[in-house]
Amino acid sequence: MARFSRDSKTASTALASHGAPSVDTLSSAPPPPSMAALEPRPTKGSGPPPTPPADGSGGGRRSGRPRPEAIEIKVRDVLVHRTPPSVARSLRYLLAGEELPPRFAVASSIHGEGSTTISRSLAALIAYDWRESVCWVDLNWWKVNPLRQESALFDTTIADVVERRAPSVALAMPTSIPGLSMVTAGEVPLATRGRLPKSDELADVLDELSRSFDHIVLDLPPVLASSDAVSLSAFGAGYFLVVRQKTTSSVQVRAALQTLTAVPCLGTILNDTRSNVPRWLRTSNEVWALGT
Amino acid sequence: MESTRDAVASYVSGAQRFFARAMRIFFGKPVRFLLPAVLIAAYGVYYASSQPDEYQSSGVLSVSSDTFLASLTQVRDTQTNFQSVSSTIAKQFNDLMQTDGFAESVAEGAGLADPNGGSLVDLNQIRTHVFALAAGDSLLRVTATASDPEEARLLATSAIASYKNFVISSEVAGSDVAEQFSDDLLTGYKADVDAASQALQNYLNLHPPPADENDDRDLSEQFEITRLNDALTRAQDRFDGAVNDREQARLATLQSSADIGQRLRVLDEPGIPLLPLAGLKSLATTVILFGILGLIVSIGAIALACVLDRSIHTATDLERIGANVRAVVPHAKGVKVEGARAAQTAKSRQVPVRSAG
Repeated sequence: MARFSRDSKTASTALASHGAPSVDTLSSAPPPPSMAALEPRPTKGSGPPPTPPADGSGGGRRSGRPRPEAIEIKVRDVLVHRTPPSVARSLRYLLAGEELPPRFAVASSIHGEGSTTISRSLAALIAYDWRESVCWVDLNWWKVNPLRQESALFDTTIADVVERRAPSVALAMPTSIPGLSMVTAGEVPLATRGRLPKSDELADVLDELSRSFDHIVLDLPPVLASSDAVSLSAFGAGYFLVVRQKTTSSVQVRAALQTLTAVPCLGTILNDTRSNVPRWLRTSNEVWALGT
Repeated sequence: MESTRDAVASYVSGAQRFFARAMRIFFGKPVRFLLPAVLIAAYGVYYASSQPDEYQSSGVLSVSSDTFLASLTQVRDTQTNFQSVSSTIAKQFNDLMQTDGFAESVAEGAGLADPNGGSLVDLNQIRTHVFALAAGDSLLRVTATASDPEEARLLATSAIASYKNFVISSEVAGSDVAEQFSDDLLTGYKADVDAASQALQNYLNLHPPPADENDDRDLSEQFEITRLNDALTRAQDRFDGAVNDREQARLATLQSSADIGQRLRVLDEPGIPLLPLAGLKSLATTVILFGILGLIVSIGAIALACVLDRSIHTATDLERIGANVRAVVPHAKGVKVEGARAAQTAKSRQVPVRSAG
């Protein structure tokens, strides 16, 4: 089985083999069209700017300023993910805060909370803002149909490698964002899903990926939907819990936090927040109480 | 940032959080929570518009506790009372309306009585539609409401007459008894007088006076005639006394009736109302009342939703269960990418998919 190299140059060579621009040329090469109008790159570890409004406008209502475009992730020129500017702004506060471990997981309590979207956005931002190599790893075999169909874009899946049906050399699929690669979970029969989280093969695959990339972002299945999340979370040094507004109850969040005790919780991310309360009703105190 | 967040979060009181949560819940689905208010207000409009027109007729009585005749004849004692006379009488009238007897007399006076007994209308309906109100210290307004203008006038007129009859019958009750007693005595006394007169006349017929005018009757006849004459005189005196008593009782009755007539004097006879009572103002009042009721229901629904909804709305909710909030991601359009479309695109481009093994 081929080994991934932790050296970024080796990784960039591997990426170039898939047609992606080399990491070494990122500083001199012009950004791709989808990122041409992105916001200026913040300095890693800089202080957090004010919290953005929750109306999803991303502060783009100011006239005279160019409206930032969304960050798009394409695999084989097929769009698989889009991070709107307002979402990117919010997640940059998280990245600008405490230091992230090299390998961390993103989980949720139940289905449909947006953990995949958040994890992909985090990976894209790390790759773009920090200019570090990132690999987004899908460990969720419990995804709904449309997301599973993305596997058709990938040459090799984790399931193939773990089941020894394919080598791991082509596991990380480069994307349109330099430095960002993606690994998909693939199809695993229900009967064998319970065996995967504890398998040595999976641990080996993740170790190899860690040696090849600066950061590994693990996308875990819902904690309360599958016990796999408990075992899989141990592959990271910590986890973020995604909570979608008005979807998850406080009981479910508490249960998820109490279930995932193998690794420390790096924090929670309140996702998809919106408020229909008229602006004239929002006083300064209510603004915080409303979560904006 | 965390310290600032904690400081602000601690500054937000529970009431503010509840209010903010209620606002979020309401503005999240305003139609759902406003629906009860709209439906109840709509029912109020339907209810108000479906009610038949009602007409109101009222008469005004002048009431007083003392009269000129009463001051001359002292037929009533004047008593000190903290309530005005009109208030006292209005209360008495409304109390009387709760009795079946008085309500039936009102219905009967208005021509609403069943010839076979009972009433053509519900007595409770009459009770709720006929009432008296004090219109000042000495004025009493008796009001009747009905679906027909003439019926309203008849009810008001009958109510006033029934009340006057009630007062008269209660106050002259003693005089009536005296009159009845005197009438009973007079019958017997009249018979005694007639009998005594007849006995004297029979004795005189059997014992004619002597032929010679100079002769006197026998001493025994003179005694008997004197005795019969005395009996007749005594019977006549008793009869005259009874007649006098009866006249006194009759006078007292007339005095009481005249006194009541002065105390309860009709100033304004009930007239036929020309316009229905219900108008735009009544309609608006009904709709507003139903609207307020609907708003109360809506507010209750919002409060109930606040209490029952345990979902996470704000970062504060997460922090209250001990979670460390690292980011608040706003809702944004364009996040979702159609996976099926992506797969179709991939298939259309004939992407070589690595087969198992």
